[in-house]
Amino acid sequence: MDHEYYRDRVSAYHDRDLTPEEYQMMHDHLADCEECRELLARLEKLDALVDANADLGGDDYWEQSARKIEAKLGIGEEVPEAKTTDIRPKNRGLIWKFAAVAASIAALTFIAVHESDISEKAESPRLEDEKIAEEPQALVMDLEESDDYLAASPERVEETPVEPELEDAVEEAVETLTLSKVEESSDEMALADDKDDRIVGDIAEAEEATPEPPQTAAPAPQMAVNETEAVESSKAVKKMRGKSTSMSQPVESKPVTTVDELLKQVPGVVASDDSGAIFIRGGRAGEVEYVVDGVDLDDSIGWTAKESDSSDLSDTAILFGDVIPEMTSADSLAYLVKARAVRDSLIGGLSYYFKDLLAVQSSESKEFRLKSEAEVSIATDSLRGSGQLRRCLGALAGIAELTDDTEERQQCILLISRVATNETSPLQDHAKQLLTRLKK
Amino acid sequence: MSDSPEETRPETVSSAGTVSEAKLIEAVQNGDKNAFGGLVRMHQKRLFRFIYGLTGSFDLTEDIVQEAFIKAFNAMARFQPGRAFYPWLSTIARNLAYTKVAREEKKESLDSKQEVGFDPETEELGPLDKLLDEESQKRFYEALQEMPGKYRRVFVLRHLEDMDYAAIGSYLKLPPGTVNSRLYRARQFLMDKLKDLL
Repeated sequence: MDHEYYRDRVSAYHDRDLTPEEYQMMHDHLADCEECRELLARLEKLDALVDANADLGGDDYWEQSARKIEAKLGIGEEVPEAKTTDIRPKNRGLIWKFAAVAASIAALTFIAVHESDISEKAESPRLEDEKIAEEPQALVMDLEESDDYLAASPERVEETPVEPELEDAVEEAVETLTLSKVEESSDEMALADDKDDRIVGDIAEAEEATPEPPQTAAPAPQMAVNETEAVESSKAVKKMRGKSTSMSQPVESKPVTTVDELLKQVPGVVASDDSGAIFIRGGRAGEVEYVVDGVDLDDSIGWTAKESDSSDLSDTAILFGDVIPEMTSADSLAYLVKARAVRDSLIGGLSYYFKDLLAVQSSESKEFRLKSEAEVSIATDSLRGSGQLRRCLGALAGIAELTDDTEERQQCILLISRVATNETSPLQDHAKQLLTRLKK
Repeated sequence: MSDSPEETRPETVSSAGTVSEAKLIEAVQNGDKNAFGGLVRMHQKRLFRFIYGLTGSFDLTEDIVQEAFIKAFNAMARFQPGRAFYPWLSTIARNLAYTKVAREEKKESLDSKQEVGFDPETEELGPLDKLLDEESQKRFYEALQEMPGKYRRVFVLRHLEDMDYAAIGSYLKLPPGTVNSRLYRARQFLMDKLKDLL
């Protein structure tokens, strides 16, 4: 190893963020290298300087600030003397990375980029893939926990259904992905990505983007169920634009025999119930990056939509619901999301990009071949217990039909085929039907 | 003997002395909304510093902090007791920060102006100055503000939010090596700017 190698790791050595082997190598090098020792000493001084100066003063300001917030909330007649949290760093430098599992804060990130960005990203190395490879068990457990929670909490499932009064308010809009449970207090999800250190999201105010729910609804597909409430109550509409995406690695690289298995490899996304709602969570390294409009393929999921005659989806909207505190760990947020399409001229879907695979829930216009969201709702109503898998199959079929990407189509078909050849799958026949339709 | 209303009124967490976060959360969820003020006082400074570190904009940070608390307040009924409040709050705030910055950037872009937000063009501390008592504090925050955003974000998460590399990588969607190199450069930047203080 040359000196530069070690010099670049002095900072990490200082933070004790090296593997034990690297740490020992660095330790040995420091014994012989004065330059690196000096650098280390300066880093330690910088630490002390930061610790001494990072705190903010201005007690009056903070009290005024607190009162402003209280005033906005209509509270604050009596003020408890809550301890101000010590914001100075604690125990920094004692964090080791011995374990492969890296628990941490997951960025619940929505990204919207233009179509032109997609191909570039599709070819880029996948950090998420590496993480999955490192921690498959953790991810599986996480999803299982989510399922357990959902199973034990029927009230969350009950929140979605509403009168299917949906009209085609949709003239101006497009495909709207909504949350099944949205309140005024809903947290706005951010669209962001730090990959290139720039914000690539294109977000719009909820109020601006939300089409007013119709007072008298035109006959809507079943997918419309659950939507009215969300639209009426939501203030968290995001716009997205761009177009969807592709899978870049062969399915074989992540062997699965059923989509259920596939789901278990997917960080952060759980189809939560049979009504089409989707539960999304994040919280661990490797978990979930939310991709609006299917952009950054580093990530697990994406909402895709495309207009039949244009890739400009500047008025495509997506609704996100409130944070779900019950499922929000110390490190993450969880959202309940529901998708729908509302405009005939659009196709699209709510798609989970499971790294290079995808298993998905899709929604698109009733005009198109696969009315996946509506179809999914119908299908899951009639096949409770297998809804998750069925949704995925439907979505895969939809993508296979809609995609222009031959490889993507083949991958979707391959996934469906695996279910179709699985004698034990309750959805074997359904998968066969989908394959038959795709062949046509 | 007569009890005054003051004496008979049951004590609430809001009227109590120093209380724990858990008690405050419990109180808010039990209807003592004023107790939320305690959570504000408990976390606002840290949250402000964090968001300021991300955005580099005092005004934007003020807005985001306020809005984050309001959103958190509105969602408190469903906040799970036993959870830590700050990570939840800071994630809300962080998302708001990205949202607002993205919006600002778009707006500015439409106006053919320079981008604002994560990389403010000004090197002056502005209103933040009033929160800094010592000259060395001002020097530190000036240097932090001058630091390129991609380095600053990593630095803030490491030094001000006390995250390890894995957490930073997850948070910013960066590979571990990139976290390491950016943090190193951030520190180099500060060591250069503040060399007379080291």
